[in-house]
Amino acid sequence: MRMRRRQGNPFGFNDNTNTSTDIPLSPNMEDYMENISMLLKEHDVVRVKDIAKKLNIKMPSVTAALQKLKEKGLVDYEKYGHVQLTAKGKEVADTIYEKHSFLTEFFKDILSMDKQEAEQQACKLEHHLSSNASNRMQRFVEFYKQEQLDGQQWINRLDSVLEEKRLSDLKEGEKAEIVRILGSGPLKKRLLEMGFRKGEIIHVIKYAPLKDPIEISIKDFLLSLRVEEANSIIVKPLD
Amino acid sequence: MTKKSLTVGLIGNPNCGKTTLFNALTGARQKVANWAGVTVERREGFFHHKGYTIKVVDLPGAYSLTSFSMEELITRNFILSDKPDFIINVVDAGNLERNLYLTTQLIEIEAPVIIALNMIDEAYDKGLTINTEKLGELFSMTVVPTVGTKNIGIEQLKNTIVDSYEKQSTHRKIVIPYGNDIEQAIHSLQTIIEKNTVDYPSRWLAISLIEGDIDAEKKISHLPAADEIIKTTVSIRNKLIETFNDDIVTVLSDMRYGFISGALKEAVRKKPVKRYDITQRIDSIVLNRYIGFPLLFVMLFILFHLTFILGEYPKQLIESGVQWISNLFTGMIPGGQLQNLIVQGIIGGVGSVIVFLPNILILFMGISFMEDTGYMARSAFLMDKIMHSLGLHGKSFIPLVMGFGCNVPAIMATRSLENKKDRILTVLINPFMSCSARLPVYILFAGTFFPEHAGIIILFLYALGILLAFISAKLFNNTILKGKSMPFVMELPPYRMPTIKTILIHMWDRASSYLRKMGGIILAFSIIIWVLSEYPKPSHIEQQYNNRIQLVKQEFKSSLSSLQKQNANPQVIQELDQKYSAILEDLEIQKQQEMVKYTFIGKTGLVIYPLLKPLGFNWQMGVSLTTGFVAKEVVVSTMGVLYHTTDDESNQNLSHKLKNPRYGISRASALAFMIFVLIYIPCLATVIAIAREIGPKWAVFSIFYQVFVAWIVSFTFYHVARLII
Repeated sequence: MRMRRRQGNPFGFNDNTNTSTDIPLSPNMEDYMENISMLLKEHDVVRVKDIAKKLNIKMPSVTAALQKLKEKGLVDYEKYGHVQLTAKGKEVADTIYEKHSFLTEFFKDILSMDKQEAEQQACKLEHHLSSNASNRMQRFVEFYKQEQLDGQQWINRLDSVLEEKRLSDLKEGEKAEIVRILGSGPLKKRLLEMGFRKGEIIHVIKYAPLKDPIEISIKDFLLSLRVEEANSIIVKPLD
Repeated sequence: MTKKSLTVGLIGNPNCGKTTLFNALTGARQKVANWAGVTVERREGFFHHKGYTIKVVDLPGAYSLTSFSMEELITRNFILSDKPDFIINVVDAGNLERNLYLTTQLIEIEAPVIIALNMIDEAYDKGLTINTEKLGELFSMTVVPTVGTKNIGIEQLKNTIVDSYEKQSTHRKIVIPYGNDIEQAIHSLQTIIEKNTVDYPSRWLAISLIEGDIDAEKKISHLPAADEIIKTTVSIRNKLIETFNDDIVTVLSDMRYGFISGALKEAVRKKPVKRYDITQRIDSIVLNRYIGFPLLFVMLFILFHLTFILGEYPKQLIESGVQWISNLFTGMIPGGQLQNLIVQGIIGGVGSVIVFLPNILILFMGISFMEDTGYMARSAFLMDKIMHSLGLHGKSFIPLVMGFGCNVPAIMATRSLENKKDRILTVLINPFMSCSARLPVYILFAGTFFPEHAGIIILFLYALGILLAFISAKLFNNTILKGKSMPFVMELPPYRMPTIKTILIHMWDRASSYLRKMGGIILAFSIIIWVLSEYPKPSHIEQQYNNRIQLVKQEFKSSLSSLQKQNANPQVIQELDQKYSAILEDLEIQKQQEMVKYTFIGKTGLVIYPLLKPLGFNWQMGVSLTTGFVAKEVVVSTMGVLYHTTDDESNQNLSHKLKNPRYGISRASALAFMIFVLIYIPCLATVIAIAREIGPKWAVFSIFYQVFVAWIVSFTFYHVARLII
């Protein structure tokens, strides 16, 4: 099977494959739909003012957007009146919201990212997933949760792998435990014979004034490594 | 009593105090040579003890015995082929774990090892208590605690060597255990190897082969069963990789470290000491974001100042000494060809060799101090980013800066660079650093032709040199010196106070190596070039001019006397005097010029002159550049001869003459000339230094490259300058 790659969308519109409906919506418009739906769940009535406040956008822009959505038959809206979603609009909004929530879960629970960042990433990604990709991803999240409940070993391994960093990602004063050394050849050999074993503790002492090389201490000696060399040492940061 | 002789090899990690221990063992009885075929130093010394003469070979510092670098290969082959009576493994007691890794490999290669547990005092300060007996037992070796810098344990070490030899004490043979899977693999490979007669320990061969050691493969390639061995090795290796799910080098090194930490648990007690960690304190200043660089520049300024400004005084002393001896010989030997040869050729030549000595001695005192304290590694740490972007190493920086003083000691200073490629590159671009000998040429020409902007012009020349060095570095890196660069991984040794003895030995070492290896050649070449610049002497031309001069003088005399008889007024006499002086001077210039044209160098200058014409040079400039091959100072003195100015009034007078339109030197050609002097062949001594440090081929390459670049750049600047000025 041939993979299809899409090289971004110059007009900011998604094509038909991305939502369950056949109405093409721009990421911007999808955000409106999502937020209107969220506001409706919290309040009885939603006004232009509320949407503007939530999205931090000026009211006339909101009005213009609502006009467009109305043309597509997704919202009910009269000037100065309340905003309501049509049945079709509800469907669209739900799909988007669903994507948002499982993406957030994916970033937060599986990739162990913090909540705020997870939300931000989900907001960006939700507009670009095809329905196929989003279905499969959703299934993956469900599978992960089941496995986690069953206490599967690989979950823990994945968690610790996610904590790994390259030595060059550490900051001055940080300590880390060696996990493995990438590559082969002279550099790896030299590091191995100097005692860069799994589990050995490395202490990042200092970056050179020009940010390269790095001074580290391992065992009982000090060593200088170029950043590109420190890149091939995978470590697990310690507190 | 018959004198018996033993050979021991000294081996250890870099910074383990090996050199200090070597000096403590042998004192000044050392000699330095190169290992056959490579430019890695082989240092040897000897001492007498209890009727034995014991030769000590200082092996290059190494972290392991793989065939990964030239140094390691030399060390390994020394053990395998020279079969020394003992290997003294110098181990830094404060850094046992890493240092003992090399020891595990010595066990594998089945070398007869004595451990010198060096810097035991530092280890004690770190709160370590090492049970040397226990350690020796676990490694099955004799362990002697030493402190090289304080001469502690040296006698005991000497005794141990002799005792071990006399007792032929057979230590129980131990092996590093690798666990069932690997042991089986080693054993099966060993069985195949042992079917052949091999000169090397079979277990070591087996392990090295499994590790994929290329040199080990070479060592068995002549065996009849070579194919079978290689095939078995590959299948064994693949199986092991499958078993361990990791590459085999990692697995084996991990197990060696496992063996070491097991031994250390038994033999070493560590009590926590609240320690004032001086190294980290110093580093926090020396490597500080804001003051790190200024401090480095101050250090370099001091080093430069000491070497080339303070070094100027002994240099002048030597020069006047040489002058004094010349005068002495001039008085003793009757004038003529012989006197010329001895005074100008030989004594002058010797003088040109030893004038470098003060610079070399002082520079290496400084460098030795920086290396031994540990600051050298820090300077490399600071500069590496910039140097690496040019394909160089952090340690290239100091030799390059020293090039501004004199390229000869600077090129010798590249020895701090361990990697061969880095060294070649640093040596090759060093001549672009405008050395102080080129300054007189700039001062003369910039002062004469650009009097208002002389400073800017000179600054421009220095900058141009640096720029060309960088461009050349980039160019070489991508062409002739292309190839994998070695990892930088550089130890930052703890700060230590160097001993005066070590520094003195290092200085002496460099100076004597300079005198022995370069002095003779520089002397020989100086004499040859002196001969070429003096001979053949066109006696008929000299005679011809002398006659004409004589005639003019007579004419002057007779005119003068007739005027005096007539009681002419003084003004008329003065005019006559002036007229004749001018004629005489002119004749003298013509005579000198004709004579120079006759010598070999003069002829060469004339032959190559057409090549230099496109750069706007006149033939005098061509000849000066040719003689300037000896040393750049000679450029100015040759010009002095060619334009006939007597020595002392030199610059002003010469400057005046250079401007004479008769010689046709324009400002553009003056600029081109200075640029040519900046770039072309450094000087005889530099060429020889290059040949000695990295090989004659590179020296020849350097000559051609520099002349080529000089021509191109001068040509460009000449033609551009002609349009502008």
